[in-house]
Amino acid sequence: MNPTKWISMACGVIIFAGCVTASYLPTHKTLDSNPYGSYIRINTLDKKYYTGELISVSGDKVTVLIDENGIISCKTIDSSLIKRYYIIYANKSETRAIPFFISIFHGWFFPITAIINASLMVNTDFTYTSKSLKYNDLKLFARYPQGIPDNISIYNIK
Amino acid sequence: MSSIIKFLYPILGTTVLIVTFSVACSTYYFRKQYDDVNSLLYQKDSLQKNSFLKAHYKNGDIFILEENWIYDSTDQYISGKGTQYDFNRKILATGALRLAIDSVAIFETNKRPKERIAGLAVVTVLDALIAIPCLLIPKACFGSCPTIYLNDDSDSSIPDAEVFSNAICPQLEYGDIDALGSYTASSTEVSLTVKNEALETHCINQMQLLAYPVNSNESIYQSGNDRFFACRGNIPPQNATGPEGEITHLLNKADRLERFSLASDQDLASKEEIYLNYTFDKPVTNPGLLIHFRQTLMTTYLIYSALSYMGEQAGEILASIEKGDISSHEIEKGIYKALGDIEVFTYNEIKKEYQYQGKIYETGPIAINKELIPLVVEEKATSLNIKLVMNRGLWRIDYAALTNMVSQVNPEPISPYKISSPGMTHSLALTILSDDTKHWVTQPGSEYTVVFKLPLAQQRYDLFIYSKGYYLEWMRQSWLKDKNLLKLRQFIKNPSQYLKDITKEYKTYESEMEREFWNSKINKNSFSHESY
Repeated sequence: MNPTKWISMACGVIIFAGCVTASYLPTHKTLDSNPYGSYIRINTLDKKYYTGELISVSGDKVTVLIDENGIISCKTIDSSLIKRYYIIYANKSETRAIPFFISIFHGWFFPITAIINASLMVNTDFTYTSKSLKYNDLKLFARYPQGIPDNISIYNIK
Repeated sequence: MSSIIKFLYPILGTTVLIVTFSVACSTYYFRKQYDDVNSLLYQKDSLQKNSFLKAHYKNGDIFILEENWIYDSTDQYISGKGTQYDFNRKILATGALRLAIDSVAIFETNKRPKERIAGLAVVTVLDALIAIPCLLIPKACFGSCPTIYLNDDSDSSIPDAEVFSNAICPQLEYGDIDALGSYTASSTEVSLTVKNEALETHCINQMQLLAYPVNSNESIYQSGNDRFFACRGNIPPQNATGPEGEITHLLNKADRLERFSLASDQDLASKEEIYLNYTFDKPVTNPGLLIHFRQTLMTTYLIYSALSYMGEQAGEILASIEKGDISSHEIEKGIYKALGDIEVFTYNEIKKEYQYQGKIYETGPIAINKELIPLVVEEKATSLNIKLVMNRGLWRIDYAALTNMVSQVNPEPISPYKISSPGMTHSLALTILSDDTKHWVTQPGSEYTVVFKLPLAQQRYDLFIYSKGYYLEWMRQSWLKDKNLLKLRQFIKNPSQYLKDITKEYKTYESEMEREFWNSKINKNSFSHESY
C-alpha cells in the first residue's frame, strides 16, 4: 500500500469513526427544527460518566435521558458531583472533510492547504465544554429549558 | 526525487494525522472559537421576523414554527406553519398551527450568523417590535399594569385606577380593589375603558364593579382588608408640614397638586415624616384619615431594574418563579418591605407620644388611590395631630383629610355584561371573565369598553373596581445589556443593601423620570405631570 492511501485511510477512520455522536441530533441545516435536547456527556467526581439527551437543568441537578443496554430512562445527576461536561448540539456535516481530503492532492502545497482546510473544518463543530459553556447556560440546550413540567413524570420521558 | 518523497512522506503523514486528529476530535483546541460562537448565541436581537420560533409549552409540548410566523398582538396568539410535538417529541400536528401565548413557558429561536456557524439562542421574552421613545431613561418607560378609566365627564386622559400592579408574573397574581369615584348615570349602564398602554401583556382573571348608592353628603371609602365605610364631612388639614416646611396648600384639596420629595442621596430606603394638624368644632366620634396618594417612579425603576438584571434569561427566571423554584414571597415582600408603607400615627395628649394607627400601601405611579385609615382617638378631642412616616422619594400625596366614618357598608359586586372595542363585540372575553380558570389577555395599545348594569338609574353611586390578574412586562432591548444575576440575587435576598447600592444610579435619573415615563405611554394622551 502506498503512503498516500495509507494516510487517506487513517484520516477516514479517525474522522468518520473516531467521533461518533447521537443519531437523533440535527445537522447544521436542520438545527432550527430540532425538538430534542443536545447530546451531553457528564463526567462526575466519583469517576462515573453519563451520556445521552439533555432533558433539563435546574439549580442543583441535571437530568439526562440515557440508553443503558437498550433501556431508555432518565438519570438525575446532582450538579455538585459534576466534574465536567461536553455537549454536542448538532452533528457534523458529512461533507466537512472533503476540502481537507482534496488537500492531499495539492502535492507540495499540501501542508499549507491542509492546515487552511482544517481550520475551516473546525468552524463546523457544534460542541461545548464545561469551560466554554457555563452551567447556568446549559439549560438552553435542554429538551425542556423551562425545567421538567410538573405534569410530566421523568419515568414517562422517552 | 523519490528519496525526497520517501523522506518527506513520514513527516507529512505525521502532520496529516495530527491535524486530522485535532480537527476531527479535539474541541478543546478550538475552545476560543466556540467562545466566539457563544457571544453570537446570546445576541440580544435574536428574535427576528425571519427566525424559526420554538415555543415550549408549559405542559412540555413544543411548537416549532417556520420562518413566516405571525404574532397577533390583539388576540394574543402566534400562528404559522410548523410542527407540534408532545413531551416525548411525537408529532401531534403539522401544517398551519396556532398557539396561545399564555400557554407558553419559554420562547426559543435560533440565530444563524451569516449562514456560517449555527448557533442556538434562547429568547425568553417577546421583545418589543415597536419602538418606544424612552431611550433617555430606559427604566422609566411607561408601564404598570391595566389602566381603568371611568367613562364620565371627568378628564378622560387621566386613569382612574391601575390594577394589580405588583403582579409581574402568574405566581404573583392577586385581586385588587381601587376606587373609581362617584357616578350618576342617566340609565342603568356604566362603562369603563380598560387599556393596555405599556409594553406589557395583561392577563385579567376577574373584573367586577363594586357599587354602593350614596346620598349627596356622603362618600364611600375603602380601608384595609377590603372594608368599605360610608363617611361624611371631610375636614382638610389646618396645617401640614414636611421636612421642606409648610405644605398645607398641597394637601388640603384633592386637586392633583401633590406633595412629593426626592429620594435620599445615601439610601433609597430612608424615612421622612409629615405632620398634619386638624381642628374641628364638634368632636369626631369615629374618625378616619382619608389619603389620596400614588407612588413616584421609584418602584417602577426598581421593577424594571430587576427585569434588566435577568437579561435574556428573564423568561426562564419568571418561569422558575411560576414553578416555585424561586420564592415569589421573597420577591413580593423583600423589596416592598424594605421600602415600607405610609404609616399613620396620632398624637396621644395624655401619654405625650405618637401612637401607631395603621398603614396603607398601593404600588403604582399612575392612578391616584383613595384609601381610608380608621383612627382610634380620644372621644372628646376637637383637634388631632397626625404623623405620617414614609419612605423619602417614594410617595406623592394629593390629599389628606379627616373624615367621619358613619357605617361600614358592602358595595354590590356587578359582573360586566358587555365588552367591546370600536366596531367589535368581544363576547368571548366576557365568557372568559366569567370563568375563574381562564384569563382575558390584552396586548399593548388595546382598548376595550367594559359595560356594567347598575341596579338603579338616576342614582349616585360610589364605584370601585375589583380586578384579579397579572401582567408580563416586555423586555426592552436597552435593558438586556444590564444583565447581572448577582445584582438580581441581591435585589431578592438583600433588598436593604441593594437599595443603598443603587441610590447613586437612581439619583442620576430621578429628576427626569416622571416626564420620560408619561412621554413613553402607548397611545398617550396629555397628562399634567409635574417634573421635579
